[in-house]
Amino acid sequence: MGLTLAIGIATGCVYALVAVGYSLIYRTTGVVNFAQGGDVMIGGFATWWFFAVAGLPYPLAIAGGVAVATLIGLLLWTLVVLPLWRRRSPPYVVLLATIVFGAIVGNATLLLLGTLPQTLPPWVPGLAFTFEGNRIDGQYGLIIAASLLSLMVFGAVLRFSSLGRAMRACAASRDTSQLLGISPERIGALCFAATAALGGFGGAMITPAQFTSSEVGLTFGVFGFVAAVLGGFGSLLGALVGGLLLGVVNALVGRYVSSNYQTVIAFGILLLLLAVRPQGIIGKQWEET
Amino acid sequence: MTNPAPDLSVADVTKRFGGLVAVSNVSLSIRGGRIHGLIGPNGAGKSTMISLISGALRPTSGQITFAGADLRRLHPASIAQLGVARTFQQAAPLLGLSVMENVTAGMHLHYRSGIASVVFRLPNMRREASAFAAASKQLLERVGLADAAEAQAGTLTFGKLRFLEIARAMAMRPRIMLLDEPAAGLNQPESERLAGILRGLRDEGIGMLLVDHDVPFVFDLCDEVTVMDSGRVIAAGDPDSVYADPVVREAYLGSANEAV
Amino acid sequence: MVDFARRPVEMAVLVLIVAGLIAVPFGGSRLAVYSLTITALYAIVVISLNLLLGLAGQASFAQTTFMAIGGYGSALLTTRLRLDPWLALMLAAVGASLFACIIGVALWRLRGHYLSMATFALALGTYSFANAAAWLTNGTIGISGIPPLEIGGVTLDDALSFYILSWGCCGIVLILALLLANSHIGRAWRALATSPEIAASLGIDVPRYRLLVLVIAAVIASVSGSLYVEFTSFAGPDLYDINIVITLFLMLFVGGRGSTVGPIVGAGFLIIVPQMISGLERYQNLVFFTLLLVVILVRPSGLFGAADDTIPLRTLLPNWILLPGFRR
Repeated sequence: MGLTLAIGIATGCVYALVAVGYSLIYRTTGVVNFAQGGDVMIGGFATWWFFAVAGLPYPLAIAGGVAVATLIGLLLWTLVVLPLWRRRSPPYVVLLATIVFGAIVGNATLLLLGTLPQTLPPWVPGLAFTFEGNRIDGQYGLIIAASLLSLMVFGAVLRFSSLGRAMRACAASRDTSQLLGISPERIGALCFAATAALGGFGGAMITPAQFTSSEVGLTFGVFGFVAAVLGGFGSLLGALVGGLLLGVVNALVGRYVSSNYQTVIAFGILLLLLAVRPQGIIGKQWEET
Repeated sequence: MTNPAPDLSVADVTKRFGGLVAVSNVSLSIRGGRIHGLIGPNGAGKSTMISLISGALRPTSGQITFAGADLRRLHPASIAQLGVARTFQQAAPLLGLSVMENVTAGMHLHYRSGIASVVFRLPNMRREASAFAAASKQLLERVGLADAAEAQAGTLTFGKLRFLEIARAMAMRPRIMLLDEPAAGLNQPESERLAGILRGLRDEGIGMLLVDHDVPFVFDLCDEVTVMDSGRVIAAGDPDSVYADPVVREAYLGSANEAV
Repeated sequence: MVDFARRPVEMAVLVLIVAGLIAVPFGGSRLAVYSLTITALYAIVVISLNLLLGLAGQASFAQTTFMAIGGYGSALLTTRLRLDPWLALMLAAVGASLFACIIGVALWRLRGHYLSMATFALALGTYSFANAAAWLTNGTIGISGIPPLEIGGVTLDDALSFYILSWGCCGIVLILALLLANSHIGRAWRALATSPEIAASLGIDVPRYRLLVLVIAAVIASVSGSLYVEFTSFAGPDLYDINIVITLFLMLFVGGRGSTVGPIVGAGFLIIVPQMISGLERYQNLVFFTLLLVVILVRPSGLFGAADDTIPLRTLLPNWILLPGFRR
């Protein structure tokens, strides 16, 4: 049970990182970025490549992985979302474009790096702690700590820095913030890059605990999305709450029911939520655009 | 006059948006075969009134009844089906549809044929289609847009769009029409043409609520006038006495006359 | 689709398509007949997507769900309950319409983002469910041995008869779509696609019409799904995965949203062209998805679509490329 909880909370933290990405991007640009999960996948996979294939020292490999993820995020913004955003394309077109981009990244990774799932060594080998008499891999603890830390830093930047204020201005109104001398396009680029970095970091963290493969992107993208809606789309605290909740529920389902049904149940939750309480646990009423 | 429409009565209606009171204890009556003007400075709550009656907004308190129905509980589509048509302050054509199609869209609620009739091209559907197409043409002629019938609605000039709004509302064969600044942006000959159309509708027994800033237009046309300021009614009655009312002159007509 | 009679180019293309379809069985290879049958079955779904999205503006990603109801419905009802395949097809379609009603009512308040995401979740959930619920769907193994359809004693299990059946159905669905699009129902859909508020102010019952188009599209997709599994005698989850979801949109976008022949041309293009390029298999998905992105960015109206022209390239590039040193 302890192990299940640890896995649940740890993966939940990564879901939270993705969910924060969804909410932040939605708040500042009005876009739902379904390629989010791809950043987690790329972070893990690129780190593996830098470490296992290119032979870089582990910390550098992680940095490289995060950098690649960030680059992908920027590419998505610049090449795909920005032109559509400028044209004020209908929401489903942008959504479709991000889905397709995510699929392209997944497919390209599959072709370039192969279909075999890969893993990474733990950050602190041999680290473990006991909980309820079970020995639990230390990586989970590190994931939880690192995620919470990054989320706190993120939240602090958002709330207290001038950059954060600029982001919140964009969130309120794209056109008005332009009049205030803020460039929504640069803010958008920053958001996409930052959330991609966050996701990539999550991917680098979770890969030692599980495997990574090119299909992982869709899974994290979907679960991260469900977490975001669960907590309240657009709310950063909600992303955290939703992520943890979903992670634990998922782990419990996987352990006590069947791992096959994890995705189905996640979707069931999502559909129920959207039908009954779209604003999630914490979120306020989501404005219709 | 052919049988006039039943009254639409607004009784003591208030609308709050959070802390902001947009409309406060407003009462008025729209009577069949009469044009009721609603004027006031910007932000007085006139457009809010139209949205409240048409069902786009729900009143915080008060009553709105028409032909025995309580309009507060109804959706805009149901209110439209009862015979209450509205135009929009910003010209709101259905873009992507042609001018003719916009008008025929207004006739939608009169179609009786269902999906089976459409799919099997039954005679009743074909009859309705051609009858309503002919009626749409007539309406376009009546408002002077017959030659623009095939044009895309988005390509019309602002003035013509206003007439399209009117034609589309007329297509609904309403009993009551809520007109939100129909004369805004029209030049003198166009205003007169519009006034003529509205008088014609009045003679057919339709009751109209006319919101506008063009003071001569309103006072010329309307049988009774209500004046709003900051969400409240400050005067109501026949045009002459309202025009002479010092409160009204102070609040609105003074500044309006300067602009005019 | 609207005013099809006034679009000579599309009419000409349609005539060419019909002529080509009649000619192929005489001269073409078995592969050609097979591919074109698949094309017809996909074209049917894309036509339904065209009604849903191109006409009524409802961004629903869930057509694969209804294809799955049709496909698995036919498969299960014929193999487990031993029902007649035509009866199974009809029952599956009824099931699809009921499910569409439930979905439509549950999600009717949602618009824009919400609807897209909810239906996308539904589509992905369908795939997961098909994989997971082995007690029902046989999981990844799928259901085989589906008995073939019969018409008047003639068993439709050869390539040519199914070719005729599929294209016949495609023709019927196309005519249905044209009739609906050019009627007052189609006009109501276009009105609510443009602005639900204005449509409501005209007395159009928006939720009812949204539900109507959803149900019609669901039934059409279900029929296609049933026909597909009858054709291949197999039903499996991979028929309804995310690649198919994206491919349907690709077919619609390439062909042109809102056009009449667009769905058929789009489906044909995406099924036939890859076969003409050998060595493409591994890269197929990658090429397809990149193509869709390009279409979305550069020519959203597709080959036969209305409105937007080709987007000029300079709007695609970020400011800092074109205007060096530009700072806000």
